[in-house]
Amino acid sequence: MGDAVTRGSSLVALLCLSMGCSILNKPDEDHVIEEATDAGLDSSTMSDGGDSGTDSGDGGTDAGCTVEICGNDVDDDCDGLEDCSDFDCAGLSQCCREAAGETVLTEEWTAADPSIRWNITPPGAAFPMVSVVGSERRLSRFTPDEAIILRTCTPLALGLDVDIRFVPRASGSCSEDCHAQLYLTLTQYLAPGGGRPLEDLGLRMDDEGVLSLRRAGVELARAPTAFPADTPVDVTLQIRPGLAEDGTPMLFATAYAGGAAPVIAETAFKNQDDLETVLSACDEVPGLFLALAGNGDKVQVGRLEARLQECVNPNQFSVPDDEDSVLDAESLSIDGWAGGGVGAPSLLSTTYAGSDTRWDVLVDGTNIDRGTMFGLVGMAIGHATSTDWDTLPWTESSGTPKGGDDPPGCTDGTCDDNRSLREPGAYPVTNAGGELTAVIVAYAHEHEEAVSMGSRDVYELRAQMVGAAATSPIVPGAAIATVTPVDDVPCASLRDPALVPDSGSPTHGWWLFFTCEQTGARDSIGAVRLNSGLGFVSDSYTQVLAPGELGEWGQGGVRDPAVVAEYEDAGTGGAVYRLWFLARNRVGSAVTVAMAQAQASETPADGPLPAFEPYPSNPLLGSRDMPGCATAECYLTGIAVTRRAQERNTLRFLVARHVNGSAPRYELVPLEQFWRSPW
Amino acid sequence: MNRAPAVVSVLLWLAAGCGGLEADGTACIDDGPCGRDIDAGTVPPFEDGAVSTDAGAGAGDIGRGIPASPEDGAFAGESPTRDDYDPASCYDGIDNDATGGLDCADPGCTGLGACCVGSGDCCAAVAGPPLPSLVTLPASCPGDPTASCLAGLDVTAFGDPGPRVVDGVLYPGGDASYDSGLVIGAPVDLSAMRVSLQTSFHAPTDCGATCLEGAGIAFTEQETFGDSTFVRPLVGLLTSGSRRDVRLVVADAAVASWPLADGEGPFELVLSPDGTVEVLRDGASLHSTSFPTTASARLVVYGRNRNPSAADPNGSGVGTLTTNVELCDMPAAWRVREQLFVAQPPTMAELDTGRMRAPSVAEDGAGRLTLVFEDGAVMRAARRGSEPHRFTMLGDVAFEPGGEPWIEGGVSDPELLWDGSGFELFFTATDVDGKTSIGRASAADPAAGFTGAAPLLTPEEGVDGYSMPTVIRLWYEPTTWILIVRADLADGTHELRTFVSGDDGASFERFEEDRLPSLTSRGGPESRGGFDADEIAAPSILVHNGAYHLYYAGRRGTRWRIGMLASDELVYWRAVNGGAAIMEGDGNGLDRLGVSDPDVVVQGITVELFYTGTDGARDTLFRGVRSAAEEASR
Repeated sequence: MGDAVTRGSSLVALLCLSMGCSILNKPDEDHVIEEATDAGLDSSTMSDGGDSGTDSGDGGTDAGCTVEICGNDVDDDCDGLEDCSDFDCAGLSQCCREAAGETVLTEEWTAADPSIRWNITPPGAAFPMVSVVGSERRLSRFTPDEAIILRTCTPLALGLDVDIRFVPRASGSCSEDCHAQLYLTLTQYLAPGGGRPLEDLGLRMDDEGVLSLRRAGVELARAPTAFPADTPVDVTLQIRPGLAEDGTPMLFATAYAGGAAPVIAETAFKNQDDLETVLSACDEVPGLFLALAGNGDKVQVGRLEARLQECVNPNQFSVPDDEDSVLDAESLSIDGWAGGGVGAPSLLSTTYAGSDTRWDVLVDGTNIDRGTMFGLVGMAIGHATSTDWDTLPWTESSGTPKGGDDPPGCTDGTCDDNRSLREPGAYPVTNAGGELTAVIVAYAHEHEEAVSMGSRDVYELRAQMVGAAATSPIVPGAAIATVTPVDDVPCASLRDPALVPDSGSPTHGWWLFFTCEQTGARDSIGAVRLNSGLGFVSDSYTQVLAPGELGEWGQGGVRDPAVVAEYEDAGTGGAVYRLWFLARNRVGSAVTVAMAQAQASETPADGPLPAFEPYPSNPLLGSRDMPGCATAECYLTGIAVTRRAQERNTLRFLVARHVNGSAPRYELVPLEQFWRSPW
Repeated sequence: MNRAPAVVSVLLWLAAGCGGLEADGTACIDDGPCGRDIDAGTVPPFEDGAVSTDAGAGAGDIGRGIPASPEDGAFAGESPTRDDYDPASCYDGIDNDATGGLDCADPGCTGLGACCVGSGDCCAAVAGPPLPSLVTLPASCPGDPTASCLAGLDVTAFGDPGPRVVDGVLYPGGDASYDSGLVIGAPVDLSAMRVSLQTSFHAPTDCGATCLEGAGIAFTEQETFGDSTFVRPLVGLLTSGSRRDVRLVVADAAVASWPLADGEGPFELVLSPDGTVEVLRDGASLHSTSFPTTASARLVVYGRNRNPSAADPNGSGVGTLTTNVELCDMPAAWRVREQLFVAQPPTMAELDTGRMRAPSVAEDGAGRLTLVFEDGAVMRAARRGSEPHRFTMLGDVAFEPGGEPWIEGGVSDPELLWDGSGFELFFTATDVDGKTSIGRASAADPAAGFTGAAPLLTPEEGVDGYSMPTVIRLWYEPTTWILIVRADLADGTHELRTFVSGDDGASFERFEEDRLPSLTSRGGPESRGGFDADEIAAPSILVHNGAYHLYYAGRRGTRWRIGMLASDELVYWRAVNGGAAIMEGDGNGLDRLGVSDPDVVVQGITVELFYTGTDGARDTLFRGVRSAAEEASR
């Protein structure tokens, strides 16, 4: 769809960019996660208010549909997505992009002191003998039980290409086990006496011209024919992330030697969980150490180059290269009333008033420590903007909440019981030039009728449009949409709203995702349709994701949907919905980030939401995986996502966390992932 | 049948169950229905279903194996008779009899000693518990209670204002931002201990919807407490005055709640080291769920009372607290991991070759711990000094290859035993062609070296080599030795195999009922997951709490980890810790990339695991320590 936004006829006209939306919110510390009986864990006991099971055309069942073939320009599995746009192809080589300027190694063996780059090991070992052949320099003799190991770790989890030249030779003094080998290894050095690096992956050329892939002392695969002697063989080793058949996140290796077809087909060699994560360059993207070793003088090694890739790997989040400041109440300029901490973020990336970059963050916050378990803490909504993420603090002009009381968490009994506004979920409204003109904000508001009957912690969802300048107030009485629990949807309480358009049409309507709290069951995620004027469409409830459908990691409940929706066109073309959410494990001990995806080959007007399929290798992110949380006590409390305005294939996430310590901190951490836009 | 006579007598003693005839006179078939409703076609899998059927064991020949304990082979608690359970159905991941209890949770299985290890309710009282058993709150306790009526108890007050005690109730102080309360006792190892807490809660009588009055009991991982402490509960019970309820809080979130009314019976919180938490009131279970265990947590009675009113000046409070702490046997609850240091007399320089691996220890008659390990091509011996991680070398080389062809190629994988008068050394011998077999040598004093090396077990047809021996002598049948080795087969696969000695304690024969081979077979074409997907090595066996515990090293890719199996009778094995490793490289230090070669010794409640740690280049000796109940019971 285009990037234009229009205005609708009745209340507002909405048109959306296919750019991201966001979500936010947190699994409230003071919210009781309902424990379910065994029966309650079974999603079959959950009411299904919508036809979420509608055939989305997800391959293989319809006549003519098969498994997606990645790279034939055909939607083989009839899910509306072809080749790299299809989830099934996400991690494949052709679906990666080379990270610009990220050649991490170019080695032509010319350095006067190679030990600056290479660890020559064990102690006392000599650098392999270098020979000059024409204008080329080659490593021409390897000593057994010695190795050179790159001093910096090489990131692998987003993909890597390594070019290496081998030259098997007909003559030489070596008589047994003659070879040269490229290693990807966990080993950083060899002990006195020497040995071999751990063979996490080995690419070996022997003096017979046989090229093979090895692991842990065992040959995994070899090229079908030997290469002739005394002829350089330029090999490209491609490392790609992907999933094994059982859903285990693995690294795969493929070797090419000049031709378009690989000489060694894709071979799984390493569980991503076993990569190095704590050292040097691998502290953000896990990887291994690159090394060379061999035996004798009958295989030479010429030029070596390694280039980082950006492949789709849902299991791997990156800390942005820049615009990476962690946000909190102070940096959002709202610590005057939100000193007790912010959370439940919503993130927008647009252009505005001539600026190429415009960030909007909406949060909820309070003046009392938001983590207290001892009372009903009132929340209010804040909104700050920036044209440069790292210039702190961000802009916030009013110094007061955009919605809710000030202070939000009053404890002196003077506030209304239902004063609390929380968990904003925003979506940008833009003009024909793609500039932000307004923001639609959905939020949770305590259900007044329930409050009047003495029931607390029952929330309804409301939505309204506010101005783009981050000064427009959110007035609950001005809400256009109101979705009430029990009456409108089979949920006891509704939280964590998230808005996305329901089609590529700029004037059609919306899907409102939310957390569905039910008595006697774990939290689930549902959605309802709003019309173009933000009016609730009756009987449109769809259960999107229920904990009973998930593995142990999600059976304690799922909350806080963060959604990116993309449509093929403004008509009835294909659609893909990517949903990130917070999952609590069955035993309740861990909250993680997970994802699911839905796709459809057609998006008929007023058609149902296609069924969501959890990613096979969930969960994606635990609290310990967060920057700065390896040793600190961190809790994930919310997540937001948006497609970056200027880099459409990059998704920016904002993960809310609570870091415990002598003084608790409530922070919003930016992370990114590469995702190829389907259209 | 080729089992040795001594073991036959053991088997005869165990005539019940699958080893005999069913009531209708039909022989019981291995893995088939046998007094319990094992589903047809289901067999005890090993973790990820590696084993399907085991028809080779022989119809009607399923004895009860060789029990780890002659009494009943089970732990020292309440146990069913041997007729009541069938280990085959207790480790298969199936609720075979549909009674609602899965495997070790099934009433018919709970008596198994193998089910005790790793169980959160199979525990024993601990001497010197970290928590006072009773924190009684008197009617009158002026000022700081820790300086008056609670003086003498191991409690510390925190918060500003601090807590007060009025009419038998502790009322925290604090304010809108910070908590107040008492830190009780010493840090508690919730990953190894079962803790129950009992107390009552007092609700404020005048607290609107906006008040923050609340109090509770909780464990927290926080270590420091002061005037500006905001307690983050790991697991606990908290009251909320505005909500007028009691909430079970787990990992920073409330997971269940109950209305709070004064005058009702006390709440009880029971925390098991397997991560189970149960809430009871008046002895009746209200809720059960799980929590994240940790090796060090502090118990706090805390809360905040910011708005005490004239009608209720004290706000929310907590009554007298009763605690009970027991120690369990949790295989992954290592509280110490440290490198071993071996000093070389006379200079006492530290031996540091980077090739020290495969430790094996044995305690001699004087209670001294002797260590034998590989150092490159030779074995060395050392004795522990006053510090548990420091050893002094005995002599120079304790054992080395050479002398005869069968041992010319190398010696490795030492297994040391004390036989009452001297040390026995079992080891892998490599011949001049690289073929491995099991050898045995002995030494009265390891400083003088091990001598008398002789082959003990040589490969038969179809076996390329035997290696990595672990040996145990039955304490109730001293002439019977159990030997478990790794067998590398001619087809390229490998597996663990069990052998049993004859009366002479010297000749070993295959244990017919042995199911280890099918459980541990690796290297074949089938793909599997798990930490031990690619290779299994270095078994180490001992008897603990009435069951055999078999530690082993497992490899996936290039990473080695240590796992554990348990069995009551050497036939059926349970993958402890849910099939996950019980120890792995922790990313730091010289064992950051892998751990292997386990050897375990138990002294009292202390379980010491000696192992090889690697950082990818150097092999170094390490020890891990955990506490485990001696006589665990349910």
